[in-house]
Amino acid sequence: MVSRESVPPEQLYVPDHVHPLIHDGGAVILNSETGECHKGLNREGSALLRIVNEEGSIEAVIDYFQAAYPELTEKNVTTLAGLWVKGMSERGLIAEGVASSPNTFAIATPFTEEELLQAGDIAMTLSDIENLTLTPQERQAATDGLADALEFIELPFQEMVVKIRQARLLAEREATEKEAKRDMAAIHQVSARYMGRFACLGVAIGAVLTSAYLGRSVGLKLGAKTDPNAFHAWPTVGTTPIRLETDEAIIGQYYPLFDI
Amino acid sequence: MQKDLLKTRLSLERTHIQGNFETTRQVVNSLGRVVVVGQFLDSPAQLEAAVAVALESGDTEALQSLPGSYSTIVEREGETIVSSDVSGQHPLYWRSEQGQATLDTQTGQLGDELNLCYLAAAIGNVEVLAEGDSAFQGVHQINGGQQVRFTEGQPAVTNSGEIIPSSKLTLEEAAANLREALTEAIGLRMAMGKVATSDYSGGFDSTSIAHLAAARTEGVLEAFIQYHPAIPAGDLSYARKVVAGNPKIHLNELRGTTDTLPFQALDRVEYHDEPDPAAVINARIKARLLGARACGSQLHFTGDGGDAVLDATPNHIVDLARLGKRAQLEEASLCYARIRHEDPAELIAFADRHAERTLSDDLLLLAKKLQNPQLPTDNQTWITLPERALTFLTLKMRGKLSEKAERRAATSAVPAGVGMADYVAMAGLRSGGAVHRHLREIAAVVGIATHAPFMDTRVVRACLQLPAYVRADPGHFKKILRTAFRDILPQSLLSRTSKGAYTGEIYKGLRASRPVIDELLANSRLAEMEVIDPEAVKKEIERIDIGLPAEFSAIDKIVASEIWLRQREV
Repeated sequence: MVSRESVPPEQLYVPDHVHPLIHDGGAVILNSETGECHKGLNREGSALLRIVNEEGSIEAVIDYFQAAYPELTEKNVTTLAGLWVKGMSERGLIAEGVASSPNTFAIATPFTEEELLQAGDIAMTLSDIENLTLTPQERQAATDGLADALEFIELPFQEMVVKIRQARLLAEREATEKEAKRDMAAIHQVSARYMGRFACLGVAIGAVLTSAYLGRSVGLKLGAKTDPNAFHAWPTVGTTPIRLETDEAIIGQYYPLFDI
Repeated sequence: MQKDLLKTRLSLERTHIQGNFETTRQVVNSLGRVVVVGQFLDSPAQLEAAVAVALESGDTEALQSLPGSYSTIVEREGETIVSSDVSGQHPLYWRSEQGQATLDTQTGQLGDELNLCYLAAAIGNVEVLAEGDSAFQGVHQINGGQQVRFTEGQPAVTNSGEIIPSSKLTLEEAAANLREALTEAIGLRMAMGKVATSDYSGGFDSTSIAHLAAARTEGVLEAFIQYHPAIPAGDLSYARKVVAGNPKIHLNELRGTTDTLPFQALDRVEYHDEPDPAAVINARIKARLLGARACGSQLHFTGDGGDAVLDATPNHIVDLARLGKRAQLEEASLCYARIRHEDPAELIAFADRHAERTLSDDLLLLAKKLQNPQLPTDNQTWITLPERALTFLTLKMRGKLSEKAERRAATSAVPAGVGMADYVAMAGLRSGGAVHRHLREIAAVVGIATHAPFMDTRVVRACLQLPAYVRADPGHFKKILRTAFRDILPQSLLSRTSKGAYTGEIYKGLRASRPVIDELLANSRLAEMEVIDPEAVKKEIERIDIGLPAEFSAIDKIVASEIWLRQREV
């Protein structure tokens, strides 16, 4: 028996802060409200998320379960649909109400050889970093960038996003590839002896802040890949990612989901 | 001379795979007989000289130190001395019954009753519990590098096979030794007069071999890289960049399809006398070998073994902690933390926590973990304790393996001077030896002899005599190779700090082959024999389907074993 409280709402939608990457085994989702990464939605969950996005009704969800499990009674199907809606709602991945229009979901279509050949990629070696001589201004900007990145990363995700965007307002122009590479190297240099975890998001924020404090703008993308499912953050110049060569390649692996 | 102390039954002529190109040499004199099995590269005169010493004195060191990768059997007055090649790619098996030992190169010739613990140890990723055993009850393998002396049919291990590093050796000295050994290993093979080809992944191992071989060929060396256009692994662009400056190498880019992904063509896996650890990638392997064959290849180089002997695993930081090398420990931890996105303080704490740990400690912990796979444990110490792979095994099988781990803990000993990362390197080399052994057998069917120079005794010794913590260079690959060949190999190769990523192909391949895998599990022979819990394995397959990180090596071995068991029924 489904209790009254658990009866799902009639109208559903996928909020704007939900950024899924649909792949052939299911989906991964970045929630840009909370910063949470959901790695394990299976094909059924992925299909249902798309149904909610496109059709926006509990009826469509129930229809899906009915078709998938014809052996179940109507009551059990409704229960199943209700449980799914409840679970997804609690995670903030769907909500009650009506969307103005469906969201566009990222699809993990295979990269074409043409795309791979045309895509830029700035990969720096550890030697590049060690051999770079920073100017005093660059060193100071990177030191400040590191300190602020360590502070920002502890904030709730949305607050962190706001802080980074505010800092980027200091930039007067877009950074060139050469400048962005120096700024990335600078943050690596000043964090080299930091005795704490300073992973991809921290490094990317640090690079963005270093650039901003030097008056130039570098982008920051959060994205995901599949097989295996994983999330990553990287700085960009335009659409070109900047990374350490020892890190995974972005091009051909990761799909951008959210811009900061 | 006592006869028949060891009934040596070399059964190469009865192998299931035809067209074996391996060398089998026999030298007989008045003092006894020596048989050499494998890839022996030196002259008959050198062999005879070393044989004379071995038969006269029983000291086989000179015999085992000649160029190549080979195992030896020395039958002399009162004893038979059997030594495996250092990687175990030319395995020797023995069985002892009623005071008489029988030796063979094929385990299936010596036994018939399956050794389920052996299969389970492989599936559970605890190969340490399979060492010295085989797929058949009562049949033992001589481990890579190990020496066993048989006297009146009774075996005694006289050399464990571990290479003891020298802390006095410098990187420059070891690099010079490597340069000499690897140059010789490739030069002697090129001097055989066969049409040689090579793998060329764009990474250090096969690419280096190809460049060194090309320098010794009169024409152009045909080299091969495999890639899947929809699942970029990151190697192709490097291979193109590195080969561009060398007119003596022609790079053949073998484009993969769904048919060459892992888990395809499982009905065309060759039968071997043990499950082939690379069975799931047989379609990929054959595509490469057929490509080489189409270019007339008779001898094909691979870079197998390179990872184990040229690099060092990150657990060398534990060795640094044990040796009190604090500055190096901190530098290495900072670098690993940066490239692996971890906390350096935690890495240092890990190293300190395990500095006094022994292999026996690890085996006892493994025994507990087999009883309770959920037991939280650190990873990457002497042995890497598996996570979910143990849950694929039945309670009964885990119990048996747990008892075995306890027994081994009581007797295991690592020679003094061998550090954690040195031990892991040797274990990695032996795993590579098992894989290359099967590759050689598959290649023989195609009509090619595959050679892995990084598995040659002299090459292995040149590398592993340098302590792992000296070989290590966090953030960079294969310092000893870069030092040895910095004036010969292209800078574009030596400066590479990334590795190709082929995991995507495994996921895609498994999804494409789900019906076949599901059938194997629905009628699982391993489940019938109470080796695996098929429900736990199905859950793992579901995880893979969704794209979650998975224990692929365990799944590979389950599939390989299921195929092998079905082949034995025919």
